[in-house]
Amino acid sequence: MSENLLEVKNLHVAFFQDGKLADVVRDVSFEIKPNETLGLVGESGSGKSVTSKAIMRLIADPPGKITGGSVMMDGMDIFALPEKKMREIRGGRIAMIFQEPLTSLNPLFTCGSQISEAIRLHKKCSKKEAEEQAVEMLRLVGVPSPERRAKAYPHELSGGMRQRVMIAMALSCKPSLLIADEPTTALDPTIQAQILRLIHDLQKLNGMSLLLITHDMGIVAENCDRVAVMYAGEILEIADVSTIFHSPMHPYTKGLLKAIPKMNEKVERLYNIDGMVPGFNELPKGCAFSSRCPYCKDDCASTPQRLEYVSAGHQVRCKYCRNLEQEA
Amino acid sequence: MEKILEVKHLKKYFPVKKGLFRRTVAHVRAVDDVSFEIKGGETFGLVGESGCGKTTVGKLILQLHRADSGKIVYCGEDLCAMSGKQLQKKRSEVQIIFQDPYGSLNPRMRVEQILSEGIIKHRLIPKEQIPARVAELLRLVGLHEGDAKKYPHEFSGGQRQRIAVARALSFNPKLIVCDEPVSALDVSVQAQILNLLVDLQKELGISYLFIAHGMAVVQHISHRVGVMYLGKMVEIAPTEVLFKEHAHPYTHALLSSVPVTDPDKIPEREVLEGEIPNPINPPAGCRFHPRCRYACEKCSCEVPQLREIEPGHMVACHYPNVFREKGKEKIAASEEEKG
Amino acid sequence: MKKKGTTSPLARGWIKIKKRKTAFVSLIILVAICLLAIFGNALYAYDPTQTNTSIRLQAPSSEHIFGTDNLGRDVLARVLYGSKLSLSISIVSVLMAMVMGTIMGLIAGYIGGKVDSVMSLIIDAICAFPTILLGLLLGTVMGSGIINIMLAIGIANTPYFARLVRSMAASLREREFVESAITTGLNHLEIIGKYILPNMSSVIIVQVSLSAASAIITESSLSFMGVGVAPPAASWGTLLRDGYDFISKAPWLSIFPGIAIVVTVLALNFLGDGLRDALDVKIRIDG
Repeated sequence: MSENLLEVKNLHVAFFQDGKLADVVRDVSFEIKPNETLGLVGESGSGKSVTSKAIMRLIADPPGKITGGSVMMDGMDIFALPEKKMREIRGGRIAMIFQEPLTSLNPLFTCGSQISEAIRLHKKCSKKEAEEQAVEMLRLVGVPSPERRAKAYPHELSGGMRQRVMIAMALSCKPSLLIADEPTTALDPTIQAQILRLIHDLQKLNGMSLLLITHDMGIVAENCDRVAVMYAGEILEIADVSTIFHSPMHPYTKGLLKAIPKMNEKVERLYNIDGMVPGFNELPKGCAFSSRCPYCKDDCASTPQRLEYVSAGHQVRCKYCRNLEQEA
Repeated sequence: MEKILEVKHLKKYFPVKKGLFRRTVAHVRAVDDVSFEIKGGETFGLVGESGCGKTTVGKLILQLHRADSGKIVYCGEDLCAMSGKQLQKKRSEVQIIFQDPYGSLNPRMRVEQILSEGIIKHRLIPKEQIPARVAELLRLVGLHEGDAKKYPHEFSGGQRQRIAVARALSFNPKLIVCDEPVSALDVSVQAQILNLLVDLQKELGISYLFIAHGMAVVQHISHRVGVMYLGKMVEIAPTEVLFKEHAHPYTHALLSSVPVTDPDKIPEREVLEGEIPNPINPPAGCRFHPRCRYACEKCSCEVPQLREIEPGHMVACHYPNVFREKGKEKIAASEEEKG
Repeated sequence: MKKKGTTSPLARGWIKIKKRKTAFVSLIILVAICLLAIFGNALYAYDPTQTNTSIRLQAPSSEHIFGTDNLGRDVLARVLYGSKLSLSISIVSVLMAMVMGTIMGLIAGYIGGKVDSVMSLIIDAICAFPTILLGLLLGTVMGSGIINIMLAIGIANTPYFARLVRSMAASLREREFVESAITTGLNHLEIIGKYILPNMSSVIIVQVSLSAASAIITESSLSFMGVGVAPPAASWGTLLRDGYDFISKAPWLSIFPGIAIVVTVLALNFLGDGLRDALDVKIRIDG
């Protein structure tokens, strides 16, 4: 087994909400190995984006606060690093791309100058060299006529092209970890397929790890090696991709997979997960999913559950998960 | 089954205005000669990518935009030819559910007001029966009677979408246009709304025009599906046929781009190259030809008409099924050329 | 409007206003000022018009708390008397501006297109006139008088409402709940009355309180310059002007009406800001 590139241990993040501290991320632990793709799936409010921001130390304090845990990148404790060192890591070792590239690109500068800026931040080279490299990056991410597009402003490009520019910028310093936060959610299906393939190809080419954050189970199934399922701030299940899809153990994962319509099979009726995701101020003391769980026991809502191994590489946050089959 | 809605050669160009005097400099060809029909009790899915005009088709049917030309025949009457009062009455029978449950309900009205507004306006039932009807509507969509006194902001996204469904039902509509009704909802809540729509259809015999970009959702809920590209209908077929035996290369690419939810059965993917062209200046001939890897000369100059290749299966392509028969050899040939 | 746990958006605003101290205190002060304007003279011992040359220009004392003026009238009685006119001019002119501006803004924003272009041109043209200049102009053309000053201030404030309402109406018109109202079969008046206006009411309320503050200042300035309220009628502005002649000898003649203006204007502004936060109004005035 290879050494871990990123290790997140017992991460807790809280946000001030109406004068109270709400625990938005609770006890999140996972690791990413070199060249591996970890999928982080969850619905809105599951804390998946907050987790990724905490890894980059981008949680605004206030209103947010990292209240516990650690993030180790290459053996360095991210939370203990001075801000200057952290800036080198951001963009240099860990890069990030977002759902809507238009808001993360500066509208006042050309795409080329923004990429070369990013290059010069982390590498000592002349302006001219950086600009040439920027064009080269644009070519690499499949932007047609990159010399011309380098001189274009973000608003002059389509959504797919902008996302390519974002990827070029993120990868310009050859990071060892790319965090992609819903990278294709704003894009059309055919463009989404292009971007996902591009990310996959570049990952193979550069030998980097990928933390892919999404709500789309299809994207997870096709692009990830391992999957962590998040719900209301906790990881409920974590396993390799085929285990998650073929033999999920947690009631939430099971329900979620039955609730989404699938392309290859037609069902008369979709599985209903009743109720809705609880707000952070109405979370039970115990299992966060207990209010919607069809197998909920008397003590589920009151006793906290721990993420425990059920087999090698397969962790589940539900102590009753082994007995569910017989019950059903 | 009888037809409840027939759309014939529908056209809508939006003018693009520029300059001080707002002169029209170009047109966005949002919907360009689109025809299809919806039968009673049926769900017709309309899919396509952004700019294909599917949302405009929905708004034209609701008469939120007036069509430039073409007919929208609802229960034997052409909505496009109607005007004023006549239309106001008629179009309440065609209702809509929007994508965004936060934006589609008036934040200043209580649920009971939202649900009774149409009933009062069109005097559908006597006044004293309205509270009972509101309660019945709420029960139908899985909400509580007590919710009638609340305001929309007191509900979650999924519950608001239920209110939107109840509002649409308050008119006893024969047809509901669902414009991306589950796209803004969480995955676990999507199934609730989809099941609700299916149940209501079985119970009340409503037809749906289901507009969406998520192929899996459309496949799940639709009886027949139409695929649009840049303002044109490129293929219409019963759902099973469309998803297994589609004949248009665009449909093929669109279906192929959808990720499957089984990590062990990832199909060989045909990733479409290039971007969606601007609908202001769509390509000549077949609008898909610049991105179609099977296109030949005829495709770039002659507009393919929507024609029936087998009963119920219509395609607008000069060479339907070309990607099945010639796909492999053509790719091989083109690679030889390059090499 | 409160019923078992469910609250209307305006009721929620009221609850939030109560939590904001400056805004709530301002509101109480304003209510007090209005009550004083209405009942003050009736309750106060001195008549604001009663002259008495034997007690001219007396400094504030326990008998005359605010002192007396050059004709021996009690200044507190005069300030109370002046508040009637100052407040009513401000209220009437702002209501006028609100009605005219809302109508203009609705026409421009809801109909859009060429109507919007023409309407916006008119609004901008009115805006180009400084309020004082407009007041001077109307004053000289039609003669100074209370109606004219109300008209002048009303017209001068109209564009602020018109612009606000125009941009709100234009964006609300595109909202999905308005489209669903159209499919309900409502006509344009019903849509405006039930969907457009209620959803911009909070913005208008905020603008009313801010405009009322500026109307009081405008009225005072005009009266101070002699084109506003003419004697024997009195407003805070005329009191200021009357006192100006004796500023070194009897500063209390100007100080007390001045304080009245400052307190009222500040309270209105604080209330406006508080309302803006409480009702979560995002005011955008497009240029």
